[in-house]
Amino acid sequence: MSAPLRERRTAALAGATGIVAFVLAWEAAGRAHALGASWPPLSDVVAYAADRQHRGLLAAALAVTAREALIGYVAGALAGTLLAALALLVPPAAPGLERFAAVVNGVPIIAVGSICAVTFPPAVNPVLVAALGTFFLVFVAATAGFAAAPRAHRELFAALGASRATTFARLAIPAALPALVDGLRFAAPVAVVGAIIGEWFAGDRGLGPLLVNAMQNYQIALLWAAALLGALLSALAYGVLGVVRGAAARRFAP
Amino acid sequence: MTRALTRAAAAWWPFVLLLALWQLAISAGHVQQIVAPSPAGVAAELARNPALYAGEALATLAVAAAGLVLGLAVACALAVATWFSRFATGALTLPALLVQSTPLVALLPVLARVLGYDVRTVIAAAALITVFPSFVLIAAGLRALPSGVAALAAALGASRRARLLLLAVPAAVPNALVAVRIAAPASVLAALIAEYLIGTAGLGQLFAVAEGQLDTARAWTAALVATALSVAAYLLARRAERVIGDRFRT
Amino acid sequence: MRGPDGALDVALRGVRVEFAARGTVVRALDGVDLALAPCSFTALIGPSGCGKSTVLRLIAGLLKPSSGVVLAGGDDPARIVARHRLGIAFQDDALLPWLTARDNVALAFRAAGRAVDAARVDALLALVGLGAFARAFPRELSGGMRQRVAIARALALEPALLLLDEPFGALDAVTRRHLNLELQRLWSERAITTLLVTHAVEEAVFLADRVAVMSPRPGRIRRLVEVPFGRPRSRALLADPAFHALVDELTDALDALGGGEVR
Repeated sequence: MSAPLRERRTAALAGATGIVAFVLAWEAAGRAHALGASWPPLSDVVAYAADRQHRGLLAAALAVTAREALIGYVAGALAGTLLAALALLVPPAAPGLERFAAVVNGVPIIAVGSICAVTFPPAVNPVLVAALGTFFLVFVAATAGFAAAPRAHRELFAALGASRATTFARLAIPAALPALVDGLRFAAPVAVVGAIIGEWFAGDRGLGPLLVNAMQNYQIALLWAAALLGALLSALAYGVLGVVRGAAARRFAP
Repeated sequence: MTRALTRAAAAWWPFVLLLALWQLAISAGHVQQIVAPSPAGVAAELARNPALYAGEALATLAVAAAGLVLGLAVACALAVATWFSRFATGALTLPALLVQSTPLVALLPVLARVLGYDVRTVIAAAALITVFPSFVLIAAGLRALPSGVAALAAALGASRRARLLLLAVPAAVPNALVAVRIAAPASVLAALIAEYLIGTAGLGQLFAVAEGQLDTARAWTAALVATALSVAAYLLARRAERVIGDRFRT
Repeated sequence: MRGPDGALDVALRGVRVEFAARGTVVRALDGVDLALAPCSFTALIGPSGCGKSTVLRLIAGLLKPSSGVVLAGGDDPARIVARHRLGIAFQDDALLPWLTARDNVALAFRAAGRAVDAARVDALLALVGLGAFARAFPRELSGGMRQRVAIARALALEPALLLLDEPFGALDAVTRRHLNLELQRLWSERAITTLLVTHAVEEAVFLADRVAVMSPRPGRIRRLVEVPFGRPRSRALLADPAFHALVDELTDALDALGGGEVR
């Protein structure tokens, strides 16, 4: 077997062993209550989630959160990209906008969730909070992306006498795509967090209230099941966008 | 003079605009104090209780910093472990991915039950939000040797330990500083959410209590102070990155 | 003033370029006088950092002089650029990595807001010997091939003025010689006012009608030498003793100006 292939085999084997070790350790620790009553074995959590009685509740909550996160994500991503384009096309506006976005991002998300719930209809709160979180990340990524065109390319367009619009459409946008898609990828989990926090202040639908209620009522298995579903949703979104990112990097990165 | 003014205007116009819109919305919409305070209301609240906000801000900052340091330490240890051992890399992949994917707001209730309703959970939250991005950055940094250096070290017969200490660790410093820059505001944020949820001392709890009492002026002021804290943490970290990082950058 | 087929002349008079850097003023060019006749091929040689690329950027309208006059066709270079009459190729081929070779050449049309003349694009690619690679992406092409695409792009809009900034600088000697021959052939068929900035004295003498020698920073034109060989120039010239004598003379001139110094 050739050396690189052998290396890959060893790495894969080590990886698989590690994963198995981790799962076994969790199961053992849970059964022995090594980390307290609130850390159940993995098998208990899975059994709980698979149980017909609980499946419906968990699935409904997941669906609500997923939908809110998606809508908020799309809205925030559009806003972030447009504002970054604005900053590019109106250079004097740029420093102010960047500083503003940085501060908006610094507002604690719980405050955002709480205040928005009072100022706007509570029902849109999860979407709104998800959108705000997404907006900042995408804005930063898009701003960096639009500035990513190498100097040689910018000079080329200048020497070709291209208009600002043409330079924007044919150079800035394609050059920005790798960074932009990266930003979109990192923003996906943020949208999920935003949706959950928004739900805390909006009512009792979705994973957010489910998690808090389970915590307060000592429903340990439900708590872990809901948390794992949240993790799965986040990971799925991140993974899908990771594939998109790979394609974009292959085509558009220098 | 006018130059400085125009520059200031260019840098701060969105804030001025927002402030004006805020005041306008309150006055024109005849918004009740109980729904949302005016800018003047917030300013008055802050002026009335500076010690309160300073104290709570310090409490939040302390737990956030503790969590940040803990998270970085763990991230470094894990990064070095994966640098040495492929088994470690494999073993860490799944838990790392799990922790990273679980939204903090899903993790917190679990942590609160496991560790209890006290400051340990808050520190753990700040540490967990720091750990994964820092681990990824530092692990990458350890491997980011300028081309040819790795081959040189091998040709010189350097031991693994020597290569780690003399080459990999300095190479990782810029990335470590980026990790701090990213984690600083995030750990403040995590601390605030944790305080809000479990009621330990800090701005998050102040916000929760004020919210419960419908004291909007206090709630908004707490939120603004928390924002300032987050931004300050970020700026401090960025300054440190620039000052220290320049020396280690390839 | 225009020559036949609208080729432009270029004039630099008393051009001075200064940059502010770290609190001091750096003078890149100090009183440069240069005139390019229509349809002439001028090469600009000089030591590293003397400001050769700065001269080229001035003519391309990418830079404005601190004092002095830069004219292309008796006009501000920006007007030439606005009318898309400028062809330019850099040392970094500046091909957009997400476009095929054909689309990179077609970019010249799109940047000018004109409909793409597909026939012309294909003809140009064939002219530079890359007809079979029209659909390839830059990362699939070698350095020499990428530079050929860049030159095809520079010629796409039938420019009145061609500026080449060390286009073959990143290539090995063999490829470079080969591309010199190609460029010479291309140019003989359609004389355009051309300025070639280069390090390689041999390249300058082979391709140009005149060679201008610049002094180290702050740069000025110190010598202007006519190249007496007839066109079209062929490989045979490279064996001619007169050719090598001229190359040696210019190399000595460069050395005398301090071109060999390490800065």
